[in-house]
Amino acid sequence: MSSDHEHSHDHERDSHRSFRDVTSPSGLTTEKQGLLHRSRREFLRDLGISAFAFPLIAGLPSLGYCATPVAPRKRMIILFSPNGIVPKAYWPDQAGRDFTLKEIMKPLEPFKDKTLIVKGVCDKVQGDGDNHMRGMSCLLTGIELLPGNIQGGSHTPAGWASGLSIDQEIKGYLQSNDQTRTRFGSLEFGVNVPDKADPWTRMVYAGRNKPIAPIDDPYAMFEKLYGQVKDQAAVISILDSLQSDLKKVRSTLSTEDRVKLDEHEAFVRHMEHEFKAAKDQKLREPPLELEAGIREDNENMPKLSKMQIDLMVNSFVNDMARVATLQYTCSVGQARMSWLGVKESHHTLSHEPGTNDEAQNDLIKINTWYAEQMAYLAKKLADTPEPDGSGSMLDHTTIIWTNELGEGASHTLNDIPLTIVGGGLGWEMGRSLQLKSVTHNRLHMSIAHAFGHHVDHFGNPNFCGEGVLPELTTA
Amino acid sequence: MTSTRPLIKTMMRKPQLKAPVTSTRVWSGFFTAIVAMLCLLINSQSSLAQVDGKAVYTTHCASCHGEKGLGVEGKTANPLIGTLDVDALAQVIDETMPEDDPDKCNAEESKAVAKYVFEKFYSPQARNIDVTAKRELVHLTNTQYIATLADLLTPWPPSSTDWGTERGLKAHYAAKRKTGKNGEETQIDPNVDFDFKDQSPIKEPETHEEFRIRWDGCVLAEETGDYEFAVESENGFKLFVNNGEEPLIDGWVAEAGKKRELSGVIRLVGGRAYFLKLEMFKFKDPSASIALKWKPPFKAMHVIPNSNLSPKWCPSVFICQTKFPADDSVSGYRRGLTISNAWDSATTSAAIEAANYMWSNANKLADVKKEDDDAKRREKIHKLCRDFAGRCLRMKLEGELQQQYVDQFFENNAPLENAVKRTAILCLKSPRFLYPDITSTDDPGMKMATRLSLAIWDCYPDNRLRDRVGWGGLKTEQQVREVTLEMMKDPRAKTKFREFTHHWLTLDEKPFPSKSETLDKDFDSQAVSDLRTSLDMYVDQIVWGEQSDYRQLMTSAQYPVNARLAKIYGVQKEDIKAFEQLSLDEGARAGLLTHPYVMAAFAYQQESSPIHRGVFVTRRLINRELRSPPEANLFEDAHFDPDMTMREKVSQMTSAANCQTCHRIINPLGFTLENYDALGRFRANYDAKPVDAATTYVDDDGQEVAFKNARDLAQYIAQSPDAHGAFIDHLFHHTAKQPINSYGNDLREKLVLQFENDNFHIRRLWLEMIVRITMDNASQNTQEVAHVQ
Repeated sequence: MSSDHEHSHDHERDSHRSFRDVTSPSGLTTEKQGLLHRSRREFLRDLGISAFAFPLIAGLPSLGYCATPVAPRKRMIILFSPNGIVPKAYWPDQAGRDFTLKEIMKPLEPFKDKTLIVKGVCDKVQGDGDNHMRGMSCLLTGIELLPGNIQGGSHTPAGWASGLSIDQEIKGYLQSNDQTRTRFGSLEFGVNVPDKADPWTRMVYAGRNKPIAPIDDPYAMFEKLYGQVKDQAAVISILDSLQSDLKKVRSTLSTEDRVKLDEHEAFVRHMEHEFKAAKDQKLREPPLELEAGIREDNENMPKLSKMQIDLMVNSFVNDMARVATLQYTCSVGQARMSWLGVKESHHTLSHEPGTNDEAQNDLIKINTWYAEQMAYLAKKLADTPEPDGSGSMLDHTTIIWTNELGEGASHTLNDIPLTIVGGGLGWEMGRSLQLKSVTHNRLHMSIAHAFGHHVDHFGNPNFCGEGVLPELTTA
Repeated sequence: MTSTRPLIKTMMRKPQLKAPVTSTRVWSGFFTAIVAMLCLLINSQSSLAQVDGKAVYTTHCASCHGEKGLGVEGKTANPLIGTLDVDALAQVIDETMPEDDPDKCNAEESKAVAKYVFEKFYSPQARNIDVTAKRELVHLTNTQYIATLADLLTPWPPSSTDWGTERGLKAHYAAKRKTGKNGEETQIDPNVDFDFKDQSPIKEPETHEEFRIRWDGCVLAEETGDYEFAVESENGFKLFVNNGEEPLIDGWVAEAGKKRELSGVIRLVGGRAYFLKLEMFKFKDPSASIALKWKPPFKAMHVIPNSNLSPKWCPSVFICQTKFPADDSVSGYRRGLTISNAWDSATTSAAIEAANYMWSNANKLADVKKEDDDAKRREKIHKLCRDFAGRCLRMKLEGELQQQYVDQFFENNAPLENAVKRTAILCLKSPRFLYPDITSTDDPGMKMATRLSLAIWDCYPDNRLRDRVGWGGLKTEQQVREVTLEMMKDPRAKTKFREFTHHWLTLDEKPFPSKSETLDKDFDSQAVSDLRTSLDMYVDQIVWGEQSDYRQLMTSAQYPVNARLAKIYGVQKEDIKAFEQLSLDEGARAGLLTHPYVMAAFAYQQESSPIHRGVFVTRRLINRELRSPPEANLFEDAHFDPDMTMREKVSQMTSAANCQTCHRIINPLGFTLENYDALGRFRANYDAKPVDAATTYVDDDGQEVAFKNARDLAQYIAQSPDAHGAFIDHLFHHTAKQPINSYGNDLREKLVLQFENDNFHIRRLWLEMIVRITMDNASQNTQEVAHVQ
């Protein structure tokens, strides 16, 4: 910058001083004034926003990383992929600690000792809606759909679920306690979710008739997480130009009007002070730098998946939420995984019978790809230490990968795919469980209890009979 | 009506300065006491010697009027100047001064003081001082800010205000619930309010079990504010307003055929049309029905009327949703006078909001095509930013300013997102944008365009007006006149005038007073809403009609009435469907003043309020100054003998001398409206007694005017130069946001004369004002030169 700028900077400092002496609304100390250093601001402007310590807008709860909590953190991620799996390539043949991961599950090999595969959990919810709809909208709610006007391939038309989902129940529990409250509580991620709202596209419910849409645009999610930080940085970056122009304009005004503009200028400085004062609140890690311009289309699905997972882990590091869901497409989702050499779309393939080897191979590839996404997420968490030194984030985060159907062709709601990786909920990991047709409401209850939330039922009480699943905690 | 004064008395004008008035409540009692004491002292001496006018003035008058008659802040806002002769002045002083007790000074003293005042500063001859009021540096009002942003960030601004002559929505009916399978039947529906029962609306359908309908077009918002939209239906529906991508209301998934009313709130800027699309489908629900409703500011929820719908397509407009602190109205009209932290913060939030919108819509706004490569896209977006800055700063951007406001952010291949957002935030935070009078150009045409556009539409010049400046089409007065006439046809002009009416009648501040159910159980929120609609229609019809006659506005006996209002106000007519122009109470009504909405707004829950009505007439319609009451007295009906009439109660309550200073003006004006009850219904009797509405009012010059009833008062207002002046003051201030005197000492006088000589044509008066404001040369900068010299 030219010496002209240096010159104007001196003036600026002088006027800061007089401003403080005369009308300062903020009563800033000299030391803080010194922070308004021009070179710093230039630095910010020239490097863009991702490279500085992020000041945060004041007045929001728990923006930054909390002080070390009393109890260890517990987190949960629910990962959804649609249209059932290929049972023969998914379920281990053996039960117990000694088991072999099948083809689809191979990507999880590095985390085998932290993996729990649970066969035999069934969605027993009946009523309106076809199996895809009930599979999806009852998956996390465990309760019937309301009668409605949405017609599936069979059965009667249906509406939204009649109760909230387990992730929202856990969120509510965590948010009700000062020790576990975070800025968002929960974050709902999506990847390539079609732009329509019906019981096939929503699995998260804030309550009866209240579906929550996943955010499947990583840029929109970034805005949600860090938009304010970015906005603030943009404002700070124009302050020099604004203040120098205020001076220029001032010189053209009458004495009385100058008084007015001086008032105005004082408020501009006040804003600057406020923004800077908020800098004490720091994020533990800067926001992620997302690759720019990734359109939301089928071909970009791998990139979008990675971006969303990266954002999710980043948001956890900054303790913005303890619960997250990640929904790939939707029930009846039609991802066409050309990058795997699969030509047909997913749901269409899932209707092919088990005798169609080509289709089964494609379905295995598709599900293996989903397992890879889970493995990527698990690895990211495993590679990130907890801030209090209590191990890795994976040690305190449980990822539950599930599906709305047991198998695509039969549309069964029995043996719902359930692969759990991670830790923190007190479950015995490194096992294959083969249960005898237990209701999935009991899994919901087990999750709640693992968080210390001792519900006596969840969803439809008729399906909660024997309570939590003891098999999860005892070997 | 009997009046001893000439009808048109242009020689006699009230003092014109309207300086900010601060509260007098605390001090006035104290000063009254002091003046009273001094008055006693003077009285005891006055008969002994030749009365000294200066001494009387110093003792009796100066504490309120100031040593030189310029007024005292907090007590008297207006300088003591005028055009009465010495004798008339002496008479006024004798009858009305000192304000707390005119009897404290005798006729001799009054004469002496009148002579002194007249010679020193009152008379035009004595007044060599310049009374030109100062033009204050004001920022954009909230309305102006939001409207301007809407224009700045809309790809084709003209089309959001040009919405054709056809009304209703385009409807597309399909037999099947899924799109694209069957042909559609299209037609124009007047509005959306259908009950299909268990039938399909399709002609000869295969099945009544399912169908699908889409309505599209646009909706016109007449006022700026929050609008609540609602859809009532048992079927699946989605409503889109001003956004074709995100529904405002999503009820696509129905709930077992149960009827639901879902709603969503969105801020809209008045005088503009907004994209609207409503989709519905039925599938196996036992029945089907749908109604599209809204709740505009100050009104009740009702089906959106045909007059606010058009089948024309409209682009989405950026409407800033940031909440701003209310504009300063201490001058008696809203303007951007106060600079506060809250306001500055709001401009920051709004700038961020706009910057984010601009970035996410950059391709659309910059007309980036699919085939454009990155360099081309960058070039187009850079140009968009330069245009945006030029429009914000109201100039042809070049040189240093262009570098500072735009180009610096594009240097070194900076990320586009940063460049766009920084340009937007800097422009919108700039004093050159926020203060209309801070101009960056020497082009007089652009300055005129800014004044014109703000005066008539409350926003900065749009592309059309800027183009006109570009080819030199806004230079002469004749050109300004032509452009103004053209711009008056735009709905934004109607909105600005509507806002004036509401502000003038003080109907924009507080909610409508609640009314006792015992008066009429039909008088509910819907009735209040319809009354307000009736009032708006009444004013619109006259102002925008051919005659545009102020006297008609003040005296017409007919109002727009619908069936609900007809029932409440006793109109005997069958089959009233929409609003019809009907006569109420056999012609007893008189214009705006007795419109039931106005009468009911200035009344108590159960009873009329002569005081509220009297103050309203005094302050808003005939422009007399009233001080705040020395003590606050709450009217409590229970304190009075139940056999007394309201008139008797109020007379008794305000009989004290210090009350009478003001109530001798207020009460007669309020009493003459006693034929209208708390709901604004006409009554000949008050309980068993006949209503006594006859009064005598003493005007500013001490002339007595007798009124038999409300019609006489309305006639008086229609013909009184004071009232004409009041109307002009209010309209001018609403239009210019600056004191009328700051446009020259004689402008008000000239406008009143023109108005009176031009059949009281409102639109031509407004045209003249806008032309004067536009052609005005006394900008900030030239004033500054004068100051320095």
